[in-house]
Amino acid sequence: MKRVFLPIAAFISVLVFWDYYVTLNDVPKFVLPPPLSIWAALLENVPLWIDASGATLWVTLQALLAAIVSGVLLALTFSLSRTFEATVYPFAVVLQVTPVVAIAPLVLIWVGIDNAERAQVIIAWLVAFFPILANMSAGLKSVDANLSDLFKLYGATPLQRFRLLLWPTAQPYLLASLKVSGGLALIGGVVAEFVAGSGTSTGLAWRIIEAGNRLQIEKMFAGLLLLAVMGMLIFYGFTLLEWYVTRRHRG
Amino acid sequence: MLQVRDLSFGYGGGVTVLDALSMDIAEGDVVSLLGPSGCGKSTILRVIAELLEADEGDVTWQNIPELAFVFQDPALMPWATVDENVQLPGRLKGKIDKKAVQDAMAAVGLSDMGHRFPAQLSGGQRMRASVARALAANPKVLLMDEPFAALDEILRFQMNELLLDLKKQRGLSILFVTHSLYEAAYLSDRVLVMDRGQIKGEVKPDLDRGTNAQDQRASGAFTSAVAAIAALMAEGS
Repeated sequence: MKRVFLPIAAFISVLVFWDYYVTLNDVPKFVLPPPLSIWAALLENVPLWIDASGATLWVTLQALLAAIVSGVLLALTFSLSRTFEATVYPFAVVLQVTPVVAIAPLVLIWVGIDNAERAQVIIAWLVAFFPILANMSAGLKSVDANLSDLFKLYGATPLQRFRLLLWPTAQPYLLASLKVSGGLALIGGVVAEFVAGSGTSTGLAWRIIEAGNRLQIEKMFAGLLLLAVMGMLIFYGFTLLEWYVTRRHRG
Repeated sequence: MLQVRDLSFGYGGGVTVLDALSMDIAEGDVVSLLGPSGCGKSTILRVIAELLEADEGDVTWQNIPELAFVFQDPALMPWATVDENVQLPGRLKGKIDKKAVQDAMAAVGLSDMGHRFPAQLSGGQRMRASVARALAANPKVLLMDEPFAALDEILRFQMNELLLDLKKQRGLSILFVTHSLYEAAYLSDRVLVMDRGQIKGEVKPDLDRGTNAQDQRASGAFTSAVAAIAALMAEGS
């Protein structure tokens, strides 16, 4: 109960203090709007926010799905060949450590300025991919050596080995990485929209830029609030999935 | 039943683990391998089970029997119930023998625990589940690598009794690696003392299996066997 109540109480306290502070000090709206005007900006144009959230979420989910498929497959290939892993892994690290903002314009040039959405997905994928690869690889390496010997002793086929041993062993690692990569895909999607533009559908990042250019700071905050909510939903969604799937491991 | 001749095995960098080791195991015998850490006890089990390939020498079976392996660590799948763990050998071989699974669970006293997950079992119950999984493969030969080393003394005694019962009921041959000379003396028909990859000598504890466990452990034959094993281990070290 405390785990739910305390964060909510803290959040409400911050809002109350925020409102009190800006009212008492007459802080201009274009510097820090009061919480209620942010709420009003949100309610003022619900369809617009729904469209923008949908566009950002769609990019995030596509990137995340691509990251899961590619990360898992590459990690599996690594587990089959250590030589391949030693050859390819450094490239994955390079992709991870190079700032995505620096790569984004290049991606946009390669896919074409008319394909901004595709560029967004690729950029978000670049950010989300590595934690999945790294965790899945670690998961596949963490197979119990004795269990592995038993599978050998009882003549397991490669498919049985994967289905009954490797996949269940690596699952908690994969699920833990999804909590990180889900958030990163969202961040990647937003950064991509900042850099690559909005394409045919306008996402939250573009709405934030637009509001900033017009000095509609309460709208900027409304966009940020939606991004934060989306990030939280992704994180806690995966936390719930992890809890559900790994409940057997805990007994 | 099993003949091992001039078996050698080493890891890279010139580390010799087994050095032209030879031994014979007769059907229905419990044979313990005893010796200091790194003397090759576990390696010999793994070579016999073909989990490792020997550099030289032969392992010859009279008739290739069904083998099962029990490790020091219960090595259960934490995501699977006890039932699913015990069914593993059958599942991997393409056919689950439900009766063998039920019998194995009953033999180790876990019949009503099949729906539980390993995390819901005590240390002793996990080891029983591990033994049940081995039994579910309907083995003729049980290879056991320090299976009870992590258990407390009371549990270890219980597991020792369980093992002797299983041997009697199922006519198992057991090759048993242990660090405990008391355990080796109590369980075994023959105790092979190993040192630096070779068999250094052999002791045959002559316990009266007709008497109860307490009497056997208090008997002169048990004390003599322990003393003989200790003397053999101390020899030349």
